[in-house]
Amino acid sequence: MKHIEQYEQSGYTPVSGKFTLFLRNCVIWQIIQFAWINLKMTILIVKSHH
Amino acid sequence: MARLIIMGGGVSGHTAASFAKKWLGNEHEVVVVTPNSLWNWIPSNIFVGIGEMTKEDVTFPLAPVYKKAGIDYRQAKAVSVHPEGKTEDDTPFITIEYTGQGKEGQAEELTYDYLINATGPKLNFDATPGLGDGKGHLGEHTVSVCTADHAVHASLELKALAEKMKAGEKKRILVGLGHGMCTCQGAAFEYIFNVDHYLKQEGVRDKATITYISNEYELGDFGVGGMHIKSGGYVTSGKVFAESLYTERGIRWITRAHVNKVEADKVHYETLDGEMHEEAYDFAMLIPPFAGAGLTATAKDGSDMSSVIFAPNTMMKVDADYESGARGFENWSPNDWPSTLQNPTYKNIFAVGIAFAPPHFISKPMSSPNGTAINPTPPRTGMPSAMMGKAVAASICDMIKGVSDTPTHTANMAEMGAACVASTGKGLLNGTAVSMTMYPVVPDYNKYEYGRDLNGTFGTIGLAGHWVKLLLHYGFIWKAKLKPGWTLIPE
Ligand SMILES: Cc1cc2nc3c(=O)[nH]c(=O)nc-3n(C[C@H](O)[C@H](O)[C@H](O)COP(=O)(O)OP(=O)(O)OC[C@H]3O[C@@H](n4cnc5c(N)ncnc54)[C@H](O)[C@@H]3O)c2cc1C
Repeated sequence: MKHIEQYEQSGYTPVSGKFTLFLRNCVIWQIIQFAWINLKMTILIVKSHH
Repeated sequence: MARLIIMGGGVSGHTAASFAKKWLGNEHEVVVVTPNSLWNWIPSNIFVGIGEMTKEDVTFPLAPVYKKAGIDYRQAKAVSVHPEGKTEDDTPFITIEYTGQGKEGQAEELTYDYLINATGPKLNFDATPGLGDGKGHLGEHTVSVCTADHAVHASLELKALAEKMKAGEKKRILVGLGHGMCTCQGAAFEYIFNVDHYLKQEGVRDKATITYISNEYELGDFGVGGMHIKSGGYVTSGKVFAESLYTERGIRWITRAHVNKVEADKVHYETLDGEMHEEAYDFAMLIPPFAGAGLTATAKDGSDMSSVIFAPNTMMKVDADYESGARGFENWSPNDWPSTLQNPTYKNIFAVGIAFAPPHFISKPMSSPNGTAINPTPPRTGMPSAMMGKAVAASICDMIKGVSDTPTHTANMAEMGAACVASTGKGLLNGTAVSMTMYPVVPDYNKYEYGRDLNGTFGTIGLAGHWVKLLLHYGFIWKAKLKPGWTLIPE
């Protein structure tokens, strides 16, 4: 599928490169991300309880 | 012995009831009045809507859970609130109408010492002609994922559509918000990407054009005025990331749109510039606008006093600054938002989750030259809703136990964050989801340059997000079933 159409919406947006797309489903990198997301969310929860 | 009644057993009400019972023990009564026999983990309805989960995966019967916890469960809908009681008796009470437990249609009065309104949204399909059936339910032209049953219906329609595509037919799919005053953009966002993912897995994505239609000013507004995050050396608007994702998945978008009529094969919509348009479709999932549950309030003498405790949309008034809306967007302040969620007139009444009336929007109010309001209303997503339920339960328990006369806990959307995991495709190894946190939900431009704390506000997309989504699914259903260790799972 052609993603970019000149002078259309898609012509003006950044699009992910191959490496970024690879990382999104790279299991090792995503395990690290999983820990990171959980940490960020835990901090948020702690900050939000009053 | 005091009696706490919770109207609504969804995300916020169930949280409030579970904690209140745990803290109050058997010395006091906790009653839940809710019309459904099943509890629904609503976020996973998205997966039901593409046939990747069943209704049974996302629901469970409430009765055994409440029986085990010692909570008095009434399968009924609350109809009216009588905060001053009757002429002959000052005890406040509510009226309910049973929807189950073999008492269908029967009415009853229940007295209370404390009352929590957690009745969530009324799915106001009829606000858009053709979106509803004229009787308050989903109409025949479009599908919805707002309830588990709706989602099952959506998955069957989607499957039938995919079969036609497999036979070579091209189809137009429209997903989005069915009115200019909708909230819950996140659900439409998740569904559109899950439909895209599903069609790819079925090998028919090339047969579909997929379009998103929204009342947001820009993609990524989500009813919270959008958000900025730090990325690649820039502080970047969420709009850029959202547009990037839509482009990457080959999805076209229409923003600033108020859908004003739905027909069998097309929607009519007005845009902020006042122009009228049409969009044809073969399959459409449109989220309806939300209203309050339609409860009324009655004074001691039997006269209607709904306007004292409810806003016109029947969401309940709490300790928000309701004058602030008129001061204009530029003058809005985090202080406008409620903290204790206590009704200002009747101090033994509280409202949590979607049931409380917000003081104003979070996104900037906008209207077309024709006077049509087109902007998202404020979301109250799962995490803030559950936090409100817990905070109000804690305040009420302290008030019942005589610790304090006033609420001891707060849950202010201007001081709390929200974590949101928006699925963009299901699959243990090929799934993805956008994980977002924002702090605070209501931006504070006096405190933070970009309205929010850039360290507490972030977004990332990937497989890990999908794992978090699954963790939340199983974790929250475990918690809602009050299984061992449920209090350790945070809201
Ligand atoms: C498809 C979809 C996906 C979503 N995904 C996410 C997500 O990923 N993350 C997130 O944070 N949020 C998500 N949300 C939003 C989240 O579901 C809501 O924020 C949350 O459910 C609000 O909680 P609540 O208790 O206010 O309302 P609800 O959970 O809707 O509960 C309200 C309860 O009140 C009951 N009720 C209604 N009328 C009456 C009456 N008259 N008397 C008594 N009871 C009554 C209802 O039956 C219901 O049980 C999603 C919403 C939808 C529709």
